[in-house]
Amino acid sequence: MSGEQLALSSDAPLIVYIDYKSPYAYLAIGPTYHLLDELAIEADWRPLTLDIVSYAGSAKTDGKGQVLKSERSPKQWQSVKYAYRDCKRYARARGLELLGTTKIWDSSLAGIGLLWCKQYGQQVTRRYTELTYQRFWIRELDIEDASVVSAVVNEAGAPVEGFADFLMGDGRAQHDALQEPLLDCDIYGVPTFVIPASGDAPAEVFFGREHLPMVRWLLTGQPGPAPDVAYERLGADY
Amino acid sequence: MLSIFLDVTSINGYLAFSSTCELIDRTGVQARWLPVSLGRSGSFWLVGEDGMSDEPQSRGAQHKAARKRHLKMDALRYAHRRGLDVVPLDRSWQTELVNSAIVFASRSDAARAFLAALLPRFWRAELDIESETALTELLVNVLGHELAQGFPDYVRSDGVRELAAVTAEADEVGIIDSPAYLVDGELFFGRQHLLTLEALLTGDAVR
Repeated sequence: MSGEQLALSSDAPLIVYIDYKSPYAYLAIGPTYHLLDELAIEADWRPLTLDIVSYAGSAKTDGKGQVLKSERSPKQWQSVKYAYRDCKRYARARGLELLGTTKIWDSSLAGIGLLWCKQYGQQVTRRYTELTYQRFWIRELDIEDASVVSAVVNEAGAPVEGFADFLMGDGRAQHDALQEPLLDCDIYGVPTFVIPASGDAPAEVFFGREHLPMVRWLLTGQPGPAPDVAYERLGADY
Repeated sequence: MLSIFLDVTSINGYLAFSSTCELIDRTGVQARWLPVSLGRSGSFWLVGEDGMSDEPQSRGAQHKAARKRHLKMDALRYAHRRGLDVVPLDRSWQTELVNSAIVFASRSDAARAFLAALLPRFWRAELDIESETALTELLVNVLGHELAQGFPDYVRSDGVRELAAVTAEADEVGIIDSPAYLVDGELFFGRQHLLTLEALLTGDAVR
């Protein structure tokens, strides 16, 4: 299978790329579940481990917003600060707690945890994702600690026997192989939604939950005029 | 009051224009249209700028190139599905003159009408927004000859100061993308927020 096929193909009608250290991906989870449940379909959830330092510079804070170390330009800071404000207002309206991260995390172990949980069904996968996001974003989950990730896997309902080996072996290999072709397929952020190619229609890639109306329109056979991008209304019950 | 900051060379500004007008009409909110210049950061949609390179690129450069390609494709996809004609920009445009024309039209409460005339023509590559003659002709169409004939003098007099004031306001607010919306001191980038803006403007939002 080519890299492009790997990134854009699935047996599921929708691929969703997420990263647990992204607040935008966190905010997309509820609306995405809502869509999947409404259409009675399941998604192929995949990790996309963002290399934030490579494109947005690095930074470390003390947890109260005080910058301890930064290699970001003023414009990068402006952009990052807006992004957090934007996420927090939607999180607040939904009753989600979202505390800014104090460093740029390596979320690959949590992503491999997702690959493990997928083997045990959608219910386990959803539970794992919910637990990971909720706890990480209130700073109660160290996603760089294999034993912590393993505990969440267990709590989500997946067996943990063999998980440690998976983290270091097959899981890591699967995770890294998934990352490799993404940029060449113009998949660079999360959440990214991919509607795999079907018949003559090529795969369609969408970055951001604002595209969920278009994703829904495509998955339901393009009824009526195409919708524009839109976030959920503030206070939507997701 | 809704303040809308728009870079006319931003394709997303164009894609947002009609739905923003619809929002204004539905809510009856008083709107201010404020022109901004984001430079190249707001004009990712240039011919030939696909970010592809035969040279080895850093991971960060690859990321930025992928982002640029995707945003270009995405804008074209939405424009196409909404039936809008758009021609990729063939270069970066100087926007001081066109921004002055928008501020000039605002003096007659006609910024929206001027943008409605300007944006489709510019994005069909039928309007030179660096041409004072072309912009004056467009102002004549929107404002009438009597009001529009003052534009050339305005550009060289009050226009400099008034545009500088708008630019200073945009800098103060922290505008880094187009379109941007400001309501009750709260800033939003992108037309994806229009539902939220409507809820805020009608008092139907949870904060």
